[in-house]
Parts: sequence; C-alpha cells; structure tokens
Amino acid sequence: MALDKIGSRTMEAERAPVSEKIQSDHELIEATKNGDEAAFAAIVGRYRNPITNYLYRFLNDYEEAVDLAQETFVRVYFAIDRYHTEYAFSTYIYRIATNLAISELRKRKRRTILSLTGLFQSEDDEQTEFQPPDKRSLPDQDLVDDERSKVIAKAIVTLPTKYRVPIILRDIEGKTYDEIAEILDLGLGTTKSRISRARGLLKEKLRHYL
Amino acid sequence: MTHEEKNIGDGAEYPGSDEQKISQLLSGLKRVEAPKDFDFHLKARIANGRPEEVRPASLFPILKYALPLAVFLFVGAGLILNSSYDDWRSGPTVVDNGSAADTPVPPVANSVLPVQTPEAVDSPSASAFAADKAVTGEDPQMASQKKPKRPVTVGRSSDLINVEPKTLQPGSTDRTGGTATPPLLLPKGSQKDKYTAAEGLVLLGIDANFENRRWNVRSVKANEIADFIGVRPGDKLIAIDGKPIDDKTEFVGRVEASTIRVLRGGETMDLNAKNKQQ
Repeated sequence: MALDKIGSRTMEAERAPVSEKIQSDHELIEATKNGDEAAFAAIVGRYRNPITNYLYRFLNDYEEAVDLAQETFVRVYFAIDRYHTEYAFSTYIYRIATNLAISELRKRKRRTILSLTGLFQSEDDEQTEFQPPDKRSLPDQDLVDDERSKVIAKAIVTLPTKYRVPIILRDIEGKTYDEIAEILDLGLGTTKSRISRARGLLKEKLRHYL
Repeated sequence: MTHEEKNIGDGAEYPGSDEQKISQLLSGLKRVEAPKDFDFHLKARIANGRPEEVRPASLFPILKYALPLAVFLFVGAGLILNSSYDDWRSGPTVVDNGSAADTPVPPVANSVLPVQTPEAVDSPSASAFAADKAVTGEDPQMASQKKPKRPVTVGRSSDLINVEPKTLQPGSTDRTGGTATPPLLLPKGSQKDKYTAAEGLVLLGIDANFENRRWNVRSVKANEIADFIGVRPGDKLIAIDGKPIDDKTEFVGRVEASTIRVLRGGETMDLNAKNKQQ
C-alpha cells in the first residue's frame, strides 16, 4: 500500500498549499485512481477537519467523530473506482459521513435498548462532551462562552436526525441549500423546510441566548 | 472560501430574525479539528484492508438457502404442533367415506383401539388391525396418507350416533377389503403398547368381572365407547370386533372397538353405534 506516504505527503501538501489549491477534487480523485497516493493524501488533508467537525457536531462525541471520519476516508479510498464525477466530491464525502453517522446513532439506540444499565442512564451520561485540554486559567467570558457552547451543542444533538443533519450542514458547515439537497438526496423545498423547522426547534431550546 | 467568509445562516434572508440569531449562534461554535495522529491511524486502517460491509449482495447467497429452510422449518413446526394439539384435544375419531372435517373437540370417550387376542394374531383380520393401526396412529394426517380412501374425521362423540357405519356381520372379520366397514371410534390415544383384558375394558368404559369364562358387565360408564355402542349392565361379552374375548385377551397397541358381540337375555347380539337401542 503506497499510502505509507500519506503522512509525509500531507505535510508536503501543507508546505505547498498553492499546488494543492491548483488541483480540484476531481483531479485529485483521478490522480488517486491512477495510483497517485499523494493525491489521496491531499484529499485527506483537505477534508479531515471539516468532516471531523461535522461528525462531532452531529454526534457530540469527539472520539466517535474522529473514528467515523477515518472510516469515511477508508470507504472513500476503497470505493474510489466507483466514484463518478457527476456530483461534487464534497457532496459525495459528506453523504458517506452522514450515512455512517446515522448508522452509528442506530447502533447507539440498539445498545441503549439492550443494555440494562441504559435504562438508568440519563441523557447527559450518554453524550460525552468533548473538552479540549486547556491549562490556562479561564477568564469569566471564556467560561460563559464555554458553557454556552455546551448548551448549544446539546441542543443540536437533541434534534431529530432529519432536522439535525441539514442545519449542521447549513449553519455550521456553511453548505448551500443546493449542496445540502444533494447530500441528503432531498428536494430543495424540503431541505429549506427542514432547516427552518430545525431553527424553530432550536429557538425554543436556546431562547435564553437570543 | 472559508466557513467564516461565507455568509452563513440566513441572515441575508431574514435579517434580525430569530432564525438569523440561531444561525449565528451555531456558526459561532468553535470548530474542532482532527487529531494530529489522524493520518497515522487512517493509514493503519487502510492497511488493514477493506471495511467490513454487510451488503445485500453478500447476504443474498445465504438468504437463498436460509429463507426456504426457515419457511420449511416453520411450516413443519406448525404441522407438528397442530397435530399434537389435535391429538390432545380430539375425542373419538370416525373413519368413514364422507368428507373430512377437522374439528378439534374435547375428549369424551377414552381411547380405543385394535383388539387383538393371541388367538387372533394369525387370523385374517390381523392385517385389518394393522391397517387400522395406521388409521388410528398418532398423526391423523399420516393415517390419511396411508389410507387415503378412509380419511380420518375427528368429531364429537355424540356425532358418532349420527354417522352411519357399516355394521360387521357376525363372524365377519374382514374390515378392510370387504363391504363391511364399521366405524372406528378413536378417542384419546393410549399410552401403553399392551393392555390386559380388564384394562382394555375399562378404557372402553366397561366395568366387568370374569365369571364362568365370560366377562359379565356390571356397569357401563356414560359417554364412553361402550355406552355409545349400546353395552348394558348384565351383558356377557363374547367378542370385540369379531375377536373372542376372555381373561387372557390382550389389547395390543390402541384399544379399538366398533362392534361388540354380547349375550343378552340368552340372545347373541352385535352392538354398534348404528343399531344401538335407545
């Protein structure tokens, strides 16, 4: 597996962002299909943070998000020959990530049902909040912001999946309505409606911050 | 274009609205990044090979065999349970040439079957009893397969009065090939392979004592086989289904009786459900 070079190539890509920018996603995919492992490393470098952030906001579990982000790239890599350029690559990879995340939620639900202890778990126990280590003493404003972020994150994960996905893609990942409609394979009207509905639900949960 | 550079949220569409505020709250969340060892772990996972996907295509070959097998087992289990249930619930069974109606009924009369004396083993009717055993087997469906021309009908004991079985003529022993086809009364199956004469008579609903080389009926239990056939207290039993009965007689397999020859008031009578005297 020539992917041994992924790490080093990623570093190279970071050192030479100009050359990376020159190549579009489709060009990188084509290069990967032709055996250019560096091209795949460039794709990973381009999408690992957005996908990780997207999955983290979806699941509210950082480790799970990282795991699923890696799984997303693994699937992209092994299915790269089946990828067609009729869709944008970002649409393709977000769709894979979304499907994995939804599967993960279903597994969690099954585990909760099967687990006797799950009967006694509160919602707070199930959702582990990611807290990056920060050794600085937090000023008051940071504390407030941190608390607000937690509340918002929890409010997001309480949304039903069909509302959660589009609003994350729209308001956190900054996707256009058209892109979201393609990722979710929905009509444009349905997509807008769900996003609007999600905001309405969040408004009730976050009225203290409005 | 970065996330921040985009006009995220629908602020432009709904300036100052709650939707815009919500959108800004969400877009203001800190973005998390992949860990530094992300590429290393990804490389390891890719090196480990293709992810294990459960695809319909890979399941199909299994389903192709598992599904029919499951259906077969399900149907088989259903048949077995059904037959067991019928056996448990069924009262006397009538074999006739009419249409079959599988109606489970509560047991009324005790079980019954083939009467076979040691002397009669070699008699021409031995084969008839063997055939009847097939009919009176545990599984009525199997019995009907063995003798399709004589389907087993499960009905209420009281219905036995209404059927019109062919009556065995005195001395007649041919119950399968001849025209005489008496009804088989098949209540709940017996558990033992062999019964003494006394036990067999009890199963038929007859309380009798053996005196002067004959079984003298003392009483007949109501709603039992003997009662349906018309045996009365005071009768002296001569034969059951043409087989002489004495104290040495043994009931082999299922106890069976459709015609009982008795001595009543000095007169020999063949009793069965059809000619029962009310």
